[in-house]
Amino acid sequence: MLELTDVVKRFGSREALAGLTLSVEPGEAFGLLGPNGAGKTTTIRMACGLLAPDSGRVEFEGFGPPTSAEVRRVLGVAPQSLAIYDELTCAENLEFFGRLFGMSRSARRERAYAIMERVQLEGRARDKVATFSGGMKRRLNLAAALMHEPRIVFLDEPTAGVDPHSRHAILELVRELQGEGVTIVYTTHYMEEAQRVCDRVAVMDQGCLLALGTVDELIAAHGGETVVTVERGTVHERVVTAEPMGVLSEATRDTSVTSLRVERPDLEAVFLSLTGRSLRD
Amino acid sequence: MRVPLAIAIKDATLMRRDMTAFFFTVIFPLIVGILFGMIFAGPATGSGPAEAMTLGVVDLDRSEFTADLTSALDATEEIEVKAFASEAEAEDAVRRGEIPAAVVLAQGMEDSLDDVFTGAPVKVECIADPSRGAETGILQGVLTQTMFAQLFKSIAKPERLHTSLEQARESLLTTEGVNPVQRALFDQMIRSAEGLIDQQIDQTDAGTDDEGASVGGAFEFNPVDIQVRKAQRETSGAEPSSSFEITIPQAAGWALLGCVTGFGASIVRERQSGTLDRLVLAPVGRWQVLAGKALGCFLTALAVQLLLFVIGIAFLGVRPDSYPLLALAIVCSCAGFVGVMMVLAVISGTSDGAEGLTRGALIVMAMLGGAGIPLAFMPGWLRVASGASPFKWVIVALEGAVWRDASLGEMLVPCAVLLAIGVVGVAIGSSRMKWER
Ligand SMILES: Nc1ncnc2c1ncn2[C@@H]1O[C@H](COP(=O)(O)OP(=O)(O)OP(=O)(O)O)[C@@H](O)[C@H]1O
Ligand SMILES: [Mg+2]
Repeated sequence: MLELTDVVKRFGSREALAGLTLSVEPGEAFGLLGPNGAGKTTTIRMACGLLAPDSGRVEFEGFGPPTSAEVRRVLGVAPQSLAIYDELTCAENLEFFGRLFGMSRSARRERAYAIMERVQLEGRARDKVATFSGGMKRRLNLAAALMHEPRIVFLDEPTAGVDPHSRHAILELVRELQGEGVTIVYTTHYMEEAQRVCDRVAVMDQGCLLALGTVDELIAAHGGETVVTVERGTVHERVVTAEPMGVLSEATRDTSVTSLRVERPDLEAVFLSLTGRSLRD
Repeated sequence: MRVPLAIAIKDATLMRRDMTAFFFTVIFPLIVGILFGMIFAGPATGSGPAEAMTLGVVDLDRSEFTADLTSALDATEEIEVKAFASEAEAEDAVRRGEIPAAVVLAQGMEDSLDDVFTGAPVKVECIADPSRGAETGILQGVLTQTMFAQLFKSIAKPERLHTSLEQARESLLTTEGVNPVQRALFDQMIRSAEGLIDQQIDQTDAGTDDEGASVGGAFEFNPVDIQVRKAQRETSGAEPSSSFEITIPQAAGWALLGCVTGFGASIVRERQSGTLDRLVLAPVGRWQVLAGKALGCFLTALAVQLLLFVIGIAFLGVRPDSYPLLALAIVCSCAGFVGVMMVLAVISGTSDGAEGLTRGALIVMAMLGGAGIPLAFMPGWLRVASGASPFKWVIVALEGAVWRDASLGEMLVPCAVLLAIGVVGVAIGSSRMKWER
């Protein structure tokens, strides 16, 4: 679907992307995971044609570079910053963006209401965005990317600064889109989100791709083994084992055990082992 | 055109809802146009009350009396005399608003003084501008007073008095139906009058104008008859017919300033918030995005100018010399300032400081261009310097169509300059536009 080949982008002397190569398959949810400044946003801006690479190629299968009008028609972007008009109402925002895509009046009205329902903003359709909470704006920012029913959607930190309720709604929507066969490129620095919605994850740091694969593959390759913590009163015992079931069955028969914790190595552990740093410092 | 129009309508909506932008684009210009128009419409128009008023004098008699009268009028505190060779010239000057009134001292005026005692008053024709009632009122008062004094001085000259009385006696002798006793009686009265007047001459020779007037009043007859003729001011002349014809074009200048700073800032804001990315990401050319911005600015500017002129024409007595030329001037002004907006958007995009600086520069340009001080009140060198300000060309174009009675040829210069600013500005804007954050 989307192919980035050896993409380099410099801002002045700073190299934001140092030769990135990756491909996104049709219909998959592709995660870009990395700390602040890793180059996630730069990758997305490059992929959708807002930035031209200094070298390397960006290509949409069957369409060519992202600057062509055909690509634009099937491409939806929810930028990291809230790219919506504060002084327009929720419905006006959506209908305006629909108009840019040549949708008819009735089509954009219908679509705007359908999409507001999906992000649970239908009750605020006639309210100015300026009166919205941060989470509501985030959801509208996402809705605006979906107005023209794109086939590939770039979501740049769609859950930044939202409460658990909004986060849940957004993640549910992403899952629904995935079910509809929409290709999704999702950036985040929350590993649990990447784990929840992404089929494959690219771990990035300082403009470089560190690892790429399904969540399980990444953990298997870089996450290490399972960690079982057994507590007897104040005494903690950590057991690192490839066979956690044995440790558990033994511990449950021991009456002195007050608490048991099984920890599966996660993407955090993957990132830690790849960079020696934690994802969020 | 569909996409640019959508962007234009969206931007106009945003502008309307943005209180600051709305204030500087609509409210402030209305204040300038209406409030300042009302202030200037007060007593400040024309010559101030403390200054001497100019009275046109057409001396057709060229006699000693009329010469004396003219210099006596000139000598008064209130009046300064301006001589005209003919009645037509003086009337033209009144029509053009150069002088509030003129008097015509008809041929044979001096000779007519002899008839004063037989009840025929000296007739003076006065041509006055009816729109300057207060000034002409004062002029008439001073004129009457001065003429009276001059008249008295003149007829008080012994030779003239004796001639007058001689004439009276002659008419007495020749009038039929008067019996000899009455004739003798009147003759005796005239003789004693001669004696009386001889005595009075000695006293009044040293008298001032005021005393002359009071002495005149004692005669209890009115020897001066001022006939006022109204000369309607030509409103289509090279003079504004009301102060609003000056302030409404100025208001239009301020409205353009508000409009271009608002739209320039909106491009910067869209770039910062990321909505510009959404516009660029739509399947439309970048030129369509720019065209949308330009169209929005143009239509908003046009709407505000129309609002200002409709209010001016409907309620404030603005009477454009030519509606087609006014339409041309408005369209060219809006087009020119689309260019200014584009340049502003490019400069403002470079840094935060640049935005404030360009706004400040624009305000100075607006003041310099005649949106602050009317161009007519500027010293010559400043008026030349103001040519560098696009606002000047807006004011020149609008004033040309409203009250300067400019021909199509004269309108071409400001209109061409404005269109050139528009073209160059759009060219700079579209080539230098910064699309990325
Ligand atoms: N317009 C720009 N000008 C200069 N440097 C930039 C620009 N955009 C990004 N960078 C630099 O490129 C690098 C990558 O930035 P990018 O925004 O892609 O990171 P990110 O992974 O999206 O981070 P975050 O999680 O904070 O959003 C950073 O070092 C950043 O400073
Ligand atoms: Mg980012």
